[in-house]
Amino acid sequence: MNERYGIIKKITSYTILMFILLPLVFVAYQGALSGLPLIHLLNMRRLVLLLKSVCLGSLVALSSVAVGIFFLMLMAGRKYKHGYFLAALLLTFYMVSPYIHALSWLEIFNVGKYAFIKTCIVLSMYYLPLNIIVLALGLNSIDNEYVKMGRIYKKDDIVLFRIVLKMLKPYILSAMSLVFLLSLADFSVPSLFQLKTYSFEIFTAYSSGGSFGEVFVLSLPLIAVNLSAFIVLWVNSEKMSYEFKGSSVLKNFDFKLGLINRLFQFLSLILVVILMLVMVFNISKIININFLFDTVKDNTSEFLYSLYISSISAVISVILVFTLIRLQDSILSRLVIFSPMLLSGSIIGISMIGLFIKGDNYGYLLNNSILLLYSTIVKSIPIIYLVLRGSLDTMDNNLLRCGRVYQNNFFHRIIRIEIPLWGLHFAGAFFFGFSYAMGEISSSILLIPPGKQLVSLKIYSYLHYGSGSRISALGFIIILFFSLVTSLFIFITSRRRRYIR
Amino acid sequence: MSNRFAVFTSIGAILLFVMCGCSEVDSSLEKKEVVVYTSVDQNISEIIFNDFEKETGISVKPVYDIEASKTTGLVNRIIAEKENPQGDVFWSSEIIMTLRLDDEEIFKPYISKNSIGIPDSYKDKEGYWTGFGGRARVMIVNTDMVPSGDYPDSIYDFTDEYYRKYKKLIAYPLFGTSMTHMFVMNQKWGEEETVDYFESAIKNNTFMVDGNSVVRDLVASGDAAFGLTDTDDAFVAVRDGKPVKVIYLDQEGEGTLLIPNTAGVLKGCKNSVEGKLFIDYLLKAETVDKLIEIGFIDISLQDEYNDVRLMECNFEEAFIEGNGLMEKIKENIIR
Repeated sequence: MNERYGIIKKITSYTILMFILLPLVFVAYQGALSGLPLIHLLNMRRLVLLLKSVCLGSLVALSSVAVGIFFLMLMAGRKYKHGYFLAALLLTFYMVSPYIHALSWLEIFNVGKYAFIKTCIVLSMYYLPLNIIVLALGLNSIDNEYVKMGRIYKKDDIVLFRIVLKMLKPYILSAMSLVFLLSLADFSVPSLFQLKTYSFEIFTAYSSGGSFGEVFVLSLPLIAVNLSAFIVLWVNSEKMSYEFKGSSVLKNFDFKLGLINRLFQFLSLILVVILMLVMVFNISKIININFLFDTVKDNTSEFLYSLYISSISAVISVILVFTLIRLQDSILSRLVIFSPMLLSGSIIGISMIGLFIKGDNYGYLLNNSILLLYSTIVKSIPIIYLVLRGSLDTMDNNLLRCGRVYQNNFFHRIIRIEIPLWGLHFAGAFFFGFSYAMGEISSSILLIPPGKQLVSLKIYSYLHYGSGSRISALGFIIILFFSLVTSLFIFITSRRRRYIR
Repeated sequence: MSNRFAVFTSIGAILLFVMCGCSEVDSSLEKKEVVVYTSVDQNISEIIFNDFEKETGISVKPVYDIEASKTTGLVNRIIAEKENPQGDVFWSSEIIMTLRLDDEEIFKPYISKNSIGIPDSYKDKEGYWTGFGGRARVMIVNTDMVPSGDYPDSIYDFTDEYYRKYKKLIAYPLFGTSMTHMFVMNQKWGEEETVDYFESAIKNNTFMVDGNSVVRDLVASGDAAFGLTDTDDAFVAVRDGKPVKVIYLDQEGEGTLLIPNTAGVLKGCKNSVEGKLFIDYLLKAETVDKLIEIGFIDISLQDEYNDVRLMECNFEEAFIEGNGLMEKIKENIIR
């Protein structure tokens, strides 16, 4: 019986890994076939450009995580009743794509000089909510007992750096590598501020008639850089501990920090307030309630379709990632899970078409949104893995063990004990997957079925036509909807949450 | 949580993934339809699709492109789907990407009865694609920043020392209509002079930005004094009551460049008859008038050219000659 179960386990986990890996294998095969004769395209100019992009990505990762840490230190331990809601609200900013986010910043920055610094600030602010949430998960997984011990002997500032930040290191490095990877792949924000980056070079080749081989060869150095960040990412995700006893630092944070640290905290608070003001500025353009209703009415089908794609892809991604964590949380599976981050959405979209185009069922797969779902799932899996893996650290396994003793019936145990206990973690990961899918455009545009439209793509259509208030209205409705769902979720789970540490 | 639960849920997830697409019934068996891939903005093309549906009873299934992908996302999709095309018609808001698709042998010939009257330089002689109404390249000037006697009106004003005092904008000439414009310049001036032109413009206080709509927005908001854009973009700022003036280029000289809309039937498409009917509909004078009324295009190719002097050019030759220019522009201009 056990042997048979072991085989089922292996088949399930390898099927999921193959599911994630399939488009990447296709890209590698096609790219090697058509791209290697074009290796001469990698000239010195492009390598210098790559170096500039790496500098930008590193600076964005560093500044974004630094602001995130100080902001988190300021908020931690303050017993905000609506802390979860605030975190979810911050996350909603992540649902707007980087380009639209950057357009809001044009209200402050003009185009022209200091493009590198402006791009760096805008990208750092865009990824700030993501950082804050990953780092909060990390802080929540550190046992406060270590801090208590440290504070007996040393000042709070020293304990902060030598114990808290040291223990938070895997999360800091994971967040940094994640931001590095995401900002390195983004060309839209740098090009808006007139900064040429390596990903823009690839996009240019892709958009102005370049062959798949050319795009593949140009992507090779970027893949090599990504790989190094990627190794940091999975090595550190390995170090995220699984067992936890006692209470977390996040909830008991009452450090009395020195002047310099408090100054940095204050600066981080100002930056977060600016971030919120910039986003709210756009929203404030649409105070007419009739206009909001009209926008909803005009875009109902797009909203429903976006919700459908985002929800289904997030649910499936969470389940697949959870299954992999439980069945095979090995180096191999982590390598596969993070591998989609090596490629841009456009290349994944093209590879999806390439994979299935010769089959008779291509039209069926495309028209029924299966290809769109597939690409969205593959792209969102790495982010969901990081969130779910970090979130699972906060789970008290003793509760689960006790539950298993009292409930022998498998299905009763699932419904009465495990789902209520794990639900919060699943929901957190779901929100990340949902947010990502709502903002994704690069592969969606290649795989959207004829006759369907996503809100993210519709926003761009309005954007080109200059309907600023429509864009704001759509963004506002997304945020409003998301906030309502979050509130409902927090209300329902508030009774359960007391069981989780 | 037990691993068995994880296995069950993952099998459930895979089933959900497969089943979620099964809810839709293939409507093509019940109803006539045409799948149109279009790079024209949704809020414009939707009006034409609705009118076409009302007039013919054929339902339109559109796939839209967006400005963020520089209207090239769809072109790459059409090329990738070449072996098993899912679209019937490609309707483009410009011409170079259509020529690229023609180069890939994506279209099949169709000469519409409504294409009579369109000048030969705006259509393929074998009918692989047809142009039918266009947007002109124009100067958008912020009237608060530039005094009325000082309005620029020529493409050469970007390199004119006199205009150095004004901050000027051009969209990256690597995509869309800006690329088409550069290709035509290259055809007229040659590679060296074209690269020199952009270098001189940059030295003369000209900045390159992300797209024509960004040029419009920055000029309208007073971030720059004037810039080069398309009429459809420029007229949005006029409609919004911004302090701008739209000026057709070089009306005293060689005229301004007109970027035509283009359309073609895709080779191997499933609804060829409906596709051809849609092309006929697009080329109708009433449809072009409607597009003018909406403000998407401003010049009909079937009519006499009114007051606007247009630059003469051969787009097909410009496309062939322009391909080599891209690398030089990337190396010398966009650093």
